[in-house]
Amino acid sequence: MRIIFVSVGLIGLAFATTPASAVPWVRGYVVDAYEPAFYFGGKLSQDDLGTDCPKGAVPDNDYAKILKTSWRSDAEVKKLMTPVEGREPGGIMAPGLSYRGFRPDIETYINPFAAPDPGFQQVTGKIAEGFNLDNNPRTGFSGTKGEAGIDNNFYRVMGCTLTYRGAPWKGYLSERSTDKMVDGHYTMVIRVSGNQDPMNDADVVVEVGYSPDQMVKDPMGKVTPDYSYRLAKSAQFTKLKARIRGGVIETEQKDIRMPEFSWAESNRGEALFQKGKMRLTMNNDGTLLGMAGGYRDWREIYGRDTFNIPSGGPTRETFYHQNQIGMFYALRRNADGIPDATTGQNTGISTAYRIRALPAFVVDPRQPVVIDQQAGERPYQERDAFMRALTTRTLQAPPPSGSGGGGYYRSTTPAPAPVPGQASKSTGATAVR
Amino acid sequence: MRKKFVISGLLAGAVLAAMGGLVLAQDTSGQERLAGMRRLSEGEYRNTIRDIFGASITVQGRFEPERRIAGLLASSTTLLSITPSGLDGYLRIGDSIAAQVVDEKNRPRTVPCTPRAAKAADSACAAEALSQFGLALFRRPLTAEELKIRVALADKIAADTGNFHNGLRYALSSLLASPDFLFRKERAVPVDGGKSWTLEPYSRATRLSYLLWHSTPDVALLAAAASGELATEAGVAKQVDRLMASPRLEKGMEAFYSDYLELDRGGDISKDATIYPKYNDAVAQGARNETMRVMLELTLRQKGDFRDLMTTRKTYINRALAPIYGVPFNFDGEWMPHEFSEKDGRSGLLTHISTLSLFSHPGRSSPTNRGVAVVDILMCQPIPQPPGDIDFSLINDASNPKLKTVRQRLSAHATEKTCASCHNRSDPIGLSLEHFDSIGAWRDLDNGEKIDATATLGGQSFDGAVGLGKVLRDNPRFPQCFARKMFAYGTGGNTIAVTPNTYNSFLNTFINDGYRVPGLIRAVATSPQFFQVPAPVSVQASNQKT
Amino acid sequence: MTARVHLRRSLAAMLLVVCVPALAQPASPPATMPASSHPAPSAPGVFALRKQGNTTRLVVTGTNFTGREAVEHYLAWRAAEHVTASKARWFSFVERRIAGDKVLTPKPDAEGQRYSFRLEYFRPTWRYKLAGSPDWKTWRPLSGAPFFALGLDAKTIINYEVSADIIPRNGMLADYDPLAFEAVAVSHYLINQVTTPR
Repeated sequence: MRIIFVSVGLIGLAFATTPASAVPWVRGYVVDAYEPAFYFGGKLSQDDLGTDCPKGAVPDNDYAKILKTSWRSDAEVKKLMTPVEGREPGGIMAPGLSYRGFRPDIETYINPFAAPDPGFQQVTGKIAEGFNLDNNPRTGFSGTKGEAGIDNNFYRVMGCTLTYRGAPWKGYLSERSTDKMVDGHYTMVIRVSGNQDPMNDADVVVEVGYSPDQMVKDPMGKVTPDYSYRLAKSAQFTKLKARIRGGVIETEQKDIRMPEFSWAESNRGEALFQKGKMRLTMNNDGTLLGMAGGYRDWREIYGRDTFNIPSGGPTRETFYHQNQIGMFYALRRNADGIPDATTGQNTGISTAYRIRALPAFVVDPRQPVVIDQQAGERPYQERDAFMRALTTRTLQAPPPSGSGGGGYYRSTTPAPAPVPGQASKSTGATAVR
Repeated sequence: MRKKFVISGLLAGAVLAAMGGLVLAQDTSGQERLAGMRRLSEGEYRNTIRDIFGASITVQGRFEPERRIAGLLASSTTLLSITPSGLDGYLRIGDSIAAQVVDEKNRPRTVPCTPRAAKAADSACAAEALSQFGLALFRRPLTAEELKIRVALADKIAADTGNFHNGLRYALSSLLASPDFLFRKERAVPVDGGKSWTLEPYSRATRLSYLLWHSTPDVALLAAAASGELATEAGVAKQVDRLMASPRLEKGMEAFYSDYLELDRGGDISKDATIYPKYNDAVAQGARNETMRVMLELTLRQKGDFRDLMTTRKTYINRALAPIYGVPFNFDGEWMPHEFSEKDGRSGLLTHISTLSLFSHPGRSSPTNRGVAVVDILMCQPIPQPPGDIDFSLINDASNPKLKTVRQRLSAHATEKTCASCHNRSDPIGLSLEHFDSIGAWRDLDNGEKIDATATLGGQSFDGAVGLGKVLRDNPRFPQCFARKMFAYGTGGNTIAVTPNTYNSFLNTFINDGYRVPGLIRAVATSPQFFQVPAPVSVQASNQKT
Repeated sequence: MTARVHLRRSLAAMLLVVCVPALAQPASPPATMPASSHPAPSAPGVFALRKQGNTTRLVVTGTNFTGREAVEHYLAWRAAEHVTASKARWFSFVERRIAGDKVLTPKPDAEGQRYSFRLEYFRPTWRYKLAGSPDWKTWRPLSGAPFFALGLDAKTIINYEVSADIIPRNGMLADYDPLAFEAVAVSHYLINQVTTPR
C-alpha cells in the first residue's frame, strides 16, 4: 500500500510541476487532515500521564459540584442528576448546566462570566508545537526541536482536555473533524507556486482557502489524490508570500483567513489567524505536512466549541467532561495577543494547527463560488448573544426557543428554581441584615 | 427453440389466446411466414415503453439476462427465450406499466378515449384504446381476433369490478405479456417465386427503428409499413433518411457502440482497491461515458473518418476521470473537452480508461486480454479460449526475480507451442499498451523495471499505444469488422456469418465515403441484404418434401 | 455545617433580593474616586485607597451594613476596577499575617487546576462599631476567629471599614497562585452583583 501510494503521489507531481529550475511551477494540495497542533506527552491514549499533562486528561466532571450554586439546593442538584430512561445525560442535565450563575435566571453559556471560575486543568509541560508569533524568545514554550518562544496558549488551555488531547491525528475531535471533512463537511485546498526550484525558491506564493468541491474517498476510506478542486476567493482565502528551503515552505507573517477546524455544521466557517504564519514541508511522497498558526479570537474559539449542533455546551460537559465555564475563564486569561484598542484586553490567543495534504489540482473557478454554509441558526444567535454579553458586560437572555435544531441540548428556561428566600429556608438559615 | 411459459392468474387466458394467433397476422396471400423472433433487450423495452406511453411511466423490475455471441449481445436476441421466472418478471413489469397508463393522472395523455360511464364496460372505447395500444406494442395492427379477445377481457373485468379503466388495465397487461410484444416477430414473404425471402413492411419498420433509434417504430414508420411504402427501396430510403435526420439516431448508435465495444460490461469491472484506490463506480461510469462521447462526436457530429477513433487525442474528461489521466479538471460543466499532447502517449479508444480497465485483471494489466480484445472486437478475429490444462502460475507469479515484467513472463509462457499460436496474435498488441496500468493510468515502470512497449505485428514494428493506434487505423479489417458488426447488430445475426457477399456493397460505400459512419448506416439500412432472411424452416421442410 | 457557612448562605440569599433588578443595568459606579495616600475617611458610603510602595490599600466604609459578603464583593469589584484603570492586568491579594494566626496560607490547587480568581481567598480585614458602643472592633479573617462572636448580632453594626491590600501586576496571571486575581474576570463576575454600600 505504501509503495503504491508513493508512486501515485509522484504521478500527480509529474503533471503538476515543471521540474526544471528558473521556470514557474505550481503544486496543488487538498487537505485531508487538519487538527490543533497539540504536543502530546503520553504514549497512545489521551488518558496517559505525560510531561504535557502529568495527571493525564482532565478527570470526569463532578456534576454535583458543577450544578451547585448558592441558590440551588442539594436536593435540586440530585434531582437534576437523576438518570432518565432513554435520555442522554446532556439532555437530562441541560437545564441545570445551562443555569449556574449567581442568580437562577442567568443562562451561563451565554453569560459565563456570571458564574465563578471553577478552575481548569491546563498543560503544565514546557514543550509545544507552533510558531514564535510575538518574535519574543522569552515568552511561550520550547519547540519540539528546542526552539525558543513557541506561542501556543490555545494548547496550554485545551491540551489536557479529553477530546483535544491525543497522539497526532488520533485525538477524538481530530478524528471526528477529519472524518467529517473528508466526508464533505468542507474542503480546504492549498496552492504553492514559485519561479525557481520547488525545493529551494525565494519567490513563492502560498494560497490557502475553501473549495466547494468535495474530496473523493477510495474504497479503503482514504482521500484519493490528484482530484481537481476550485479555490474560492472567499472570506476563507489568503495569499501569502513565502520562501522554500530544502522543501520547507515558510510564509510571511500576516493575517490568514482559512477554513475553521470544525466538527459540526454550525461551527464551520472562516478562521482568522492574526499575525499568522504557515510552515509546510513538501514530502518526497508528494504529500504536504505542516502547520498554520496565529492569534485567534479566543471568544470565537469558546463560541464555536460551546454553541454548535449537535455537540454544544451540555454535550461537551457531559459526554466529554469539559467544563465550558472553566474553559471560558482559561481561554481569556491565556489570551496573549491582539489587545483591544479600547480596553487593552487581549482578544487573541496564540494557536497552531497541523495540516496534512495530498497532491491535487487546484484551479481557479470560472464562475464565482458561493460557500455552502447555513447561518442564522440558533448557535449563531447564541454566539451573538455571548459576544454582546461580553462586550457590554450586561447579562443577555438566550435566543427564543424554537430556533434550535434536533438533538441539541439547550435550555431556554432555567430549571425550576427556588423562589428567592426559599432556598435559605431549606437550609435552615435566616436572612441577616 | 423451446419456450416454456408459465402463466398464472388473470392474464393466463389472454396470453394463451394471444399466442393462438402467433404465426400469422397480416398475410393475405397466405405466403407470409414467421422468419424469426428476437427478444427485446432491456434497453429496447425501456425505450419502447417510454416512447409509447411517455417518460412518466416507470419501468421497474428484473429483466432476463442477455448473452454476448461473437462479440454482440444483439446477436443472441434471436436465440434467447423467456424462462418461467423471467416470464413472471415480465408479467409484473407489464402489469405495473398498465396500472400506470390507466392511472387517473396519466389517463388524459395515455388513453385515447373517455368511456361513456367510468363505472361500466364500454366496448367501443376499449376497442379504440386497445387497437391503438396493440399497434404500438405489437408493431403491427392487431388481428380482429386478437382485438376481440382483449375487448372481451376488458369488458368482463370492467363489469365485474365496476370500473372501466380496471378492465382496460388488464387488457393492456395482456398485450404487454404477449410474445408479440416481448419478441420482435419477424415475418417474411418470398421473393422471386421463393428463391429468397424478405421481411414484410412492419418487420422492416421494426428492424429499422431498433437499429437507428434503439426503440419502437413511430407512427410515421408504421404508417409507411401500412401503406406498403416500406416494401419499396425508395420508400425504405425515404424513411431511413427521416430516421437518420432525427437526434434519436445518436441513441440508436449509442446502443450499438456500447454493444460493439462491450462497454456494457464496464459496470461489472472490479479492481483491487489496495492497488488502484482511484478506481470507483464514478470512474467506471465516467469511462464508458467518455468513450461514448468521443465516438458520437467523431462519427456522427463531426462526421469524421471512423478510423481516427484509433488515433484521436481528443476526448472528454470529467472530475472522476481527471485524476487517472493526471490532468486538472476545469469545472466548466460536468465534462470538459480535452486534447492530450503527443508526449502523453495516448491514442484513441484503446487508451481510454474504459477499454484499458475492461480488458485487464483486477490487480494488474493484461497484455493478453487487451490483445485478444483488439483482435476479437476490432478485427472480428476471435481467439479461442485457452485449453483447460494450461498452467498459468508462471504468468501470474510477479515475485519471480528473473521474470519481473509481464513481457518477460509472457514470452516465457509463449515458448510452449500450444500457447504460442494464439499469444503471438494477441500479445504484441497488449504489450504495446503496457504503459497503462489496470485502470488506464500512465506508468513508466512495471514491477520496478522500465517498460518496453515495442511490438511487431504483421511485420510492422511500432512502439507503444501511439504506434499501435496507427497500425490499427490503417488495417482494412478494422472498418470491415465494424461494418459487419453493424449489420449483425441490426439483423440479430452472427458477425462471423456476415460474409463478403453480404457486406461488400455497404463496405465499399463506407470506404468510398471516407469511412464516414452516417454513410455506412444508410448503406446498411437501405441495403436489400438488411431485410433478407433465410427461407423459414417450415418452407424449407416443405420444399424438401416436394 | 459551621455558623460561618450559614451566614454566607444567608447573605447570598439576601443579595439575590437586592440584585434582581440589576439584570439589565450594571451597578451604579461609586460617587467619588478619592485621591491616594490618604487615610480612609470613615464617612458612610465612601470608598478610599492609598498606596504604600507598589501595594495599594483599598477601603470600603459604610454605615448601613448589608452583609459581609456583599461588602467584601463590592471591595473586590472595586479592586478589579482599580487595577484595570491603572492599566494593570491582575493583582495579588496581600495577606498580612501576625503571630497566632490560625488560618493556613492557601496553597495552589492540589489537583493542578488553574483559576482566574478564587474569591474565597479575597479576605479583607474588618473594623466596625456596634450600636451602643463607641469602640471600633477589628476582625482579621486570618486569625481564625468567627466574624461575629456568639451572642452578638451583625445587624447591630452601625459603622464599618473593610480594607484589602493588593499589588497590581502586569504580564501573565500567576494562575496557580490562589492569591492572584485577574482583574477583568473579577470585574465581569461581580459587576452585575454588587451595589454601592451606604
